[in-house]
Amino acid sequence: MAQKTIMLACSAGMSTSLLVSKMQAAAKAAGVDYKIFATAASDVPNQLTSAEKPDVLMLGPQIAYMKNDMQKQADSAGIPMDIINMQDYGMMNGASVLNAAEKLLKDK
Amino acid sequence: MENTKKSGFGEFVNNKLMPPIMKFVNTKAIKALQDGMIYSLPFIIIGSVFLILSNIPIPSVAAWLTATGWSAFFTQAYTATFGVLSIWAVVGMAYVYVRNEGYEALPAGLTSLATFFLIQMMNIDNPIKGLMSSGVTNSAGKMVLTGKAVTANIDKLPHALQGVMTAPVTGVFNITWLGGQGMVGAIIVGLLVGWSYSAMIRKGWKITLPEQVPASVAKQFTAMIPAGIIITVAMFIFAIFSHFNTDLLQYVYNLLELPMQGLSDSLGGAIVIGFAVSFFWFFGVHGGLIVGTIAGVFLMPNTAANAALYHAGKLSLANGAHIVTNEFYNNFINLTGSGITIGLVIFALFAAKSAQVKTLGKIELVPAIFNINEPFLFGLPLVMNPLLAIPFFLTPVVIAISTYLVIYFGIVPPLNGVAAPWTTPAVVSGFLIGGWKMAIWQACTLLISTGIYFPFAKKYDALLLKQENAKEAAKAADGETVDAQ
Repeated sequence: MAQKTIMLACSAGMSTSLLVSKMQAAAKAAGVDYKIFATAASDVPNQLTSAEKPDVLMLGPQIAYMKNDMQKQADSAGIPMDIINMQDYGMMNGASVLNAAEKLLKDK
Repeated sequence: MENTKKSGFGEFVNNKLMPPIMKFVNTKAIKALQDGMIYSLPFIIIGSVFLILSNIPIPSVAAWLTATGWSAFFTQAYTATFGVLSIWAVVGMAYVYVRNEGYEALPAGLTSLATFFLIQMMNIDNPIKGLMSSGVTNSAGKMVLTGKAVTANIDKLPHALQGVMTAPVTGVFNITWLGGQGMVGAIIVGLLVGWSYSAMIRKGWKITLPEQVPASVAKQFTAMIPAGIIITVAMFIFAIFSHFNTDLLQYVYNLLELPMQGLSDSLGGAIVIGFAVSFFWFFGVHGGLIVGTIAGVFLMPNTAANAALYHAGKLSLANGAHIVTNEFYNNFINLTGSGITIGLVIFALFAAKSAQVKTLGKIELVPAIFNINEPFLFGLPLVMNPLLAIPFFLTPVVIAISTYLVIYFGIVPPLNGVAAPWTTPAVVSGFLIGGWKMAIWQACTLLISTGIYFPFAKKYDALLLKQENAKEAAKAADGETVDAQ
């Protein structure tokens, strides 16, 4: 698989979709190819059980309280998961969040 | 913020107050409520469009729509969607509950719907009965027969016929109970069915067919036992209530929904709701989501009640219209994002000096138009930031109070029950949910926000600028030492 998929999740998938476009720009600038998308927290179970499940899951800090539950789901899907750094999220720092996602993918 | 000392109160909230709240929010029931309700949203919004169409506030257009019959078709589309929102909720909640438990969920959603139908009386009051007190009016709205006259005429009929004519009409669903009035009952049914269905499947209470039976056939039998038990229990519940000449929905409505609607639809309720959103966000938890779910249970029926009044052309506080509806929450308390942070956007764009606030202002401008403000919440940040806490808490409360009062004193008419998606931009949403006066008032709330945030933002910005300058200076000093070597 050449292309890895990064999935972001927040309550409705709205504010994370802002971050997605920043991350895509950062990926493009760095010359790496990722499929990055955002979704609503309630959609995560569907995504994780779908045939084309993502390779890493990153949660918006506003739903950090769902961490335990999400961790369980990510574990059973066998993919790494983490919460996006609050400052990076607020500043919409696409490059930094992309780095974090890459690190998660490597540690796996 | 690493440079903020953790106060005793902050620690109390994080260690003592939040864990139980988070536990509550993460319960299966609340999650099913949250995600299940979402299924009713498209129907509410589609229905709202037809509600607007059937109530165009321009008399000549309205008369034309009535004359051509389109008004009736729009009403039909509204009734079949928004008008029966409890149906979507009752299916959605049981569905989500069982899906989250990892079982096939549609049978549970349908069982929930069947149960919801089962616990209500399938009849409506005979329209003749209403006419006996209200009288008969013709299509032009003129009274042609008084209530007294109707009663007198009915009295002349043979007794047996009188009885038939005033008995409830049977064999119908009463859409009153499928709409907002049945909401709390629907939630109770949806969650209980979701819970009991999952529990029975988990226990293995299902018909297991021999392996030779194709899977798709066997699947149909899975739901049989849980659904059968749930429906039988529901039937007994219906029997008990019908013994007292009522049903579960009416009982729940009077016992729970009506008082809670009253509580939420009060000045106190408005203040609590406004305060709670910022409160949760301050601790980094999605306040809009949590408060919206819980308050929505009672605000949604308020919206539906206003929509029904609006549809009947009787929208006024005197006729029982509610002030605090779901739109009061969605399109005022969360306008331009939790904490109504438009004031901060304006400050950031026009008056900020620090690089951080300036940059954030540019990032936040477009999201703010669509009522999203995570960049501010996490970037400024507003989360756990005592320096901006006062306006962050104050603004929604002030706007909740003032919006309540302008409706209460009749300066602006009540919200009309039209549901605009929460992402609808300010002023546009105001126009949709309450007409041009509401749009103007919404613009006023943006000014209020600016007024409250400005002085605090100025101080905070100055502090950030100082830090940035200090950092620059330190960097420059470092640079010099490097050069010197």
